[in-house]
Amino acid sequence: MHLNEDQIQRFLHDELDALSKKTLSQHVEGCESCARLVADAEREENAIFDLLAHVDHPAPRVDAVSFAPKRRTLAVWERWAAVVVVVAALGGVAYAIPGSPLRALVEQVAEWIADGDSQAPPVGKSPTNAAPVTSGIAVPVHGRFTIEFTSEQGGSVAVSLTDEPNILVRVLGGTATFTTDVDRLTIDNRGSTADYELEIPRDAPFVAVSIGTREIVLKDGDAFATGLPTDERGRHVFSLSTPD
Amino acid sequence: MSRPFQDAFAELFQEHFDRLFRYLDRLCGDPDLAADVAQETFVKLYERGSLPDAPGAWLITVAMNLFRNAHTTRERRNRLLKVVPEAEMFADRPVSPAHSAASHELQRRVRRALNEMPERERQMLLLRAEGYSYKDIAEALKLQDTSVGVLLARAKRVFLAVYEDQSDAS
Repeated sequence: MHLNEDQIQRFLHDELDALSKKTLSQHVEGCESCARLVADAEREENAIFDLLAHVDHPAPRVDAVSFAPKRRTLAVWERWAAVVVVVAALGGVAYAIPGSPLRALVEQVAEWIADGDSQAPPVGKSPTNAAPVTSGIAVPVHGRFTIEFTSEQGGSVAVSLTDEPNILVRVLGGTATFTTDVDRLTIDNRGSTADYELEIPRDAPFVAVSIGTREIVLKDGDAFATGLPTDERGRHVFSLSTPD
Repeated sequence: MSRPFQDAFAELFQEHFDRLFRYLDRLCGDPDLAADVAQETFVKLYERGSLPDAPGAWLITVAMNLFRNAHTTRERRNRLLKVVPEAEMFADRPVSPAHSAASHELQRRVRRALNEMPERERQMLLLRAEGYSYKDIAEALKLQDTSVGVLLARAKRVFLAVYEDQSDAS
């Protein structure tokens, strides 16, 4: 009995069960022909594996820690948004207190609106003069990154480069929900008519902006690949509802 | 994520990341794509939150699925990114002085031999070259464990035949 092809490979790779290993080892020790076959197979394999190393590139230097979701520090606008929320909450509590002067003030304003009085209210400014409500997000970018709008709905998107280290997204005149991942920012714009401003760090190696799976803008290294028109500020602009 | 999982993940990462990258790099010849896919595979594992029963086979299977999708996307991106010539995008890293013309020719022949091998034989050879067990190889390539030895011997023969055929021709 001599070793067959499967046994030679398994013998070589230590893939035999204990009994077979013992039996075949004893055989190879006493069989010159099989010993030569195993030696030849090993030599041939080593030669192939040495050849394969010629097409290798250095592995990227990545740390396991980098796969953990990144803790994001709050941007300035986020801190202000938090302050606004807290103030609004405190205002609600103050309004709810019986006899609160805030309640009286609000009721006075409400009466003024209901009467259609042309005289200015005692406090506040005209909402028509106010800027669109702006929300947004700042996301650090460390490698390849995708910004995805979930829906072909809404206004326009203006894309520009920035020297800041973070991708900045501003939502103008509407709402959107953000979901961040290590390499992706998903902007849920379903049912929204908002406009957006995207600022992409000049140093970001690769950023794709897409609507669903449809890629609209690609930044790869220094190359900014897009056939989109630019606005008066030199920003590339596309429409969410009718993508270019 | 629990601390035991994070520790196990870190250990698995140390053991598998480089060889998974090398396997993918040898498979496609595109180190950027291989790096992306290898990293994305570990992101998937992290998001999974627990280790699979056969981590080696799981990593290969997930990596191959990602690789097929990414390869298609990459080709599409290349068509879009006309401002960056493909030759520049995938150019080799700067070579050392020792990287002679002869070794460049050797590299080209090995690459070509790999490219001309049937898909299954190529995967099998490259997985074994990275030390994956027969069980992992069988599970990842959806083969019977008992057939791995014979198929592996065949894969090596195919590689050598294609490689040496080029050598004879040159």
